[in-house]
Amino acid sequence: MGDVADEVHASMTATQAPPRPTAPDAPVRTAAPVGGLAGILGSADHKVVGRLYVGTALLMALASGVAGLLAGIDRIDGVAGNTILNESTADQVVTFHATSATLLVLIPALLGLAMVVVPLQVGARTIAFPRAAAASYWTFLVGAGMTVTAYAINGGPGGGRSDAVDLWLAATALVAVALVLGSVCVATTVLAVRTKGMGLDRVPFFSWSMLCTSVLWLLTLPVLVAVLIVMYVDHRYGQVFIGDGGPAMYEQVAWFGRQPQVYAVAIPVLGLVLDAATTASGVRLVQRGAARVAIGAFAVLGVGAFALEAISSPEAADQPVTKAMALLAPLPVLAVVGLAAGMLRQRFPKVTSGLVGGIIATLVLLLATLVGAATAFEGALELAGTQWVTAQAHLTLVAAAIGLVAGLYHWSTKVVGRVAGEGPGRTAPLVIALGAVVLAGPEALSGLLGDGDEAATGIEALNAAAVAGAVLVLLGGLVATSGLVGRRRADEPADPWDGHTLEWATASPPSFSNFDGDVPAVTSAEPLRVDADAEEVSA
Amino acid sequence: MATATASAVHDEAVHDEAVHGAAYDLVPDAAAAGGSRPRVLLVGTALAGGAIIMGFAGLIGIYLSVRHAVITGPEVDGEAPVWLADASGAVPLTPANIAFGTLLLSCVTMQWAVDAVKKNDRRNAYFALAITILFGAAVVNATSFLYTQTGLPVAGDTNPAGLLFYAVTGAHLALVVGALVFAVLMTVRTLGGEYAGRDREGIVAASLIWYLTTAIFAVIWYAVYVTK
Repeated sequence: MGDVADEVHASMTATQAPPRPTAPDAPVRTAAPVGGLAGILGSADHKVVGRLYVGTALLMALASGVAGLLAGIDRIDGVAGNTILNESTADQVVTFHATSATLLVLIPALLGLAMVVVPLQVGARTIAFPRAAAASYWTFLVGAGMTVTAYAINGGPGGGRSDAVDLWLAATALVAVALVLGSVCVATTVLAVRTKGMGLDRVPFFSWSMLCTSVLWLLTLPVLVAVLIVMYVDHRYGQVFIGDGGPAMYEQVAWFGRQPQVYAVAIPVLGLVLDAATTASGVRLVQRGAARVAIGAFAVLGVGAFALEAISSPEAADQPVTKAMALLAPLPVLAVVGLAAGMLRQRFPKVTSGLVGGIIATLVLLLATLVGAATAFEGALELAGTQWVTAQAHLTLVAAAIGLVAGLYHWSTKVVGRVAGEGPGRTAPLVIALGAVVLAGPEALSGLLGDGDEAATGIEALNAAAVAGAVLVLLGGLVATSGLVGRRRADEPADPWDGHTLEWATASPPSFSNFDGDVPAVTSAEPLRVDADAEEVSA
Repeated sequence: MATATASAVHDEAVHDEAVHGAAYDLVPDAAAAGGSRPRVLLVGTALAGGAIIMGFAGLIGIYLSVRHAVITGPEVDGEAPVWLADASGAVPLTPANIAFGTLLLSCVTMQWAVDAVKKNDRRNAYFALAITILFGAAVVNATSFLYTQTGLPVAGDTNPAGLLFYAVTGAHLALVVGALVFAVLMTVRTLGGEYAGRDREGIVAASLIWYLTTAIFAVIWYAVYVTK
């Protein structure tokens, strides 16, 4: 007896707690133990955290869009800060629009969508590090609130109140850190929490694209944090390096919204369109490897940390690597367009909002990469530093926004718990894309004419057209949002599209632990696809 | 009958709590419930490590780039521009050497702790982790001492050397503190029984971050303290 006790004791020299119960023996909780506000504020459920991210980002999108519109109206005559805004306020409004579009809107919204969908797609009961994911959102919320507050009290680049400028620097760094934390959770989920049988080659394309995107954000957001640390120390203690703020301060962070780094927010578009095309057509994509390589290549072409103003010599736009990346960027997008078109040619697809939005987003992204490629021809066109670059950034960001809308509609039963209206889902991407072309067209033309930021003949008409485009983009965003809200009808299906990937094996909205029974092991990339001879899901 | 029902409900609640831990835990069940890849923490730590490397690459890159621009720039008041004074000047090398040596020693003790946990040797694990944490605190102390000894102001008149010096070394100091907190957390979890023997990813994750912290200091030591 004593020997047995000794043996047990010896085996527990460092292990005092009993082994954790293995999942198959433990009953699965299908409902959250606490509901209401407490269930939201204290939840580490990835669906709840993802929805919070998306909701907050949509609110910030409204603020960012209105700021962009104001800035556009202000510079209709070609000079910023002499009509509805004064010179200082114009700088602040422009920089708020430019930085918030990526850091407060698109990245958090895509991260939120990924937090909801990716664990379901890879067959996980929850996201990796669920508490870290929740901490990521609340940190982001605090950072976003601080950013808006900083601008509200005359901060941000070009702000007149020194403490508020410091607050903006700290807030932006906080937002970036929060997004890094969220990216770690998403990337780890794809890499390490997949269900049995799901190798990386069987991961759905959206999850694959989010893995590439998260890794890219992990590699570049910290560089932004480094710049912000240096700027904070400089601005607070000496103002030797950057000076007293304004345009010079914004230039240090502007690389994050410019080519090639701006492509980092558009990578999920490629995964989304392939998932939507596979689902809508019901065709199995044979060239899965090519699709993964194309998405990965586009991610590689979106690494832009080297374009950091403080270390770029000569300027990033003049470096051969930047030009090569600009020239190569259309190729992966073209490859994905070809793969999606191949599937759709094999079988006429159901015209779903996800497919319509995905295709439009990819086409706008293709246009953006082609516009970006033109900047490589320095000697002939001299486009670097002109409005052409702004047009390219706008097209890329709008492509990502359309992709986000398409994703929210495609997975609406998982994100909002109901089938979103197909009418708004198909209309909104068209309106937004039209707005993008009307917005970017005059900007590109303005850049081609070589006017830069200076007033030129006819600039008023071009700028007014660009404002009309911005209004259309905002309108499209409102149409998209209107289709997502509403009450769930009693007879709504969990899988309205007959999807083939694991997220469609869950209830809508998914239960607390995602899969009510055992998590299915998969034997193919389309585990829910019913072939003539066998059903490929093993429960 | 009512008593029997109440008892059944109570038993169910007790069972639920026993299986799931706290009854009001809002974290869904184990992340790896349906998966077969147990090294979630290591993968997450490796990704976070990559982010840390990029952050410091940015900081040190800015430092080196600006230093190059200053020392190859135009003369100031007829004299060649100076970045930091030499070894006997503003930034003393000795405290940096001591901090670097201490960090290298702490890597040995950290690996000792990992090995002890692998062998389920509680006494050695305690001892090695305590020494590692002590060494970490010593590095924080050495850097703080260096700050008191240096004559370098944060804000120079025209030279950004001071602000970049404090930005780079201060960020690393924050990393050391963060790595210490992570090591303490993983130590507590490991010694509490969450990780042991073959399943020791908590302490291995903490050691990864610790080695990374040391490697980054090695770069800072050469780029900032030695070559100035």
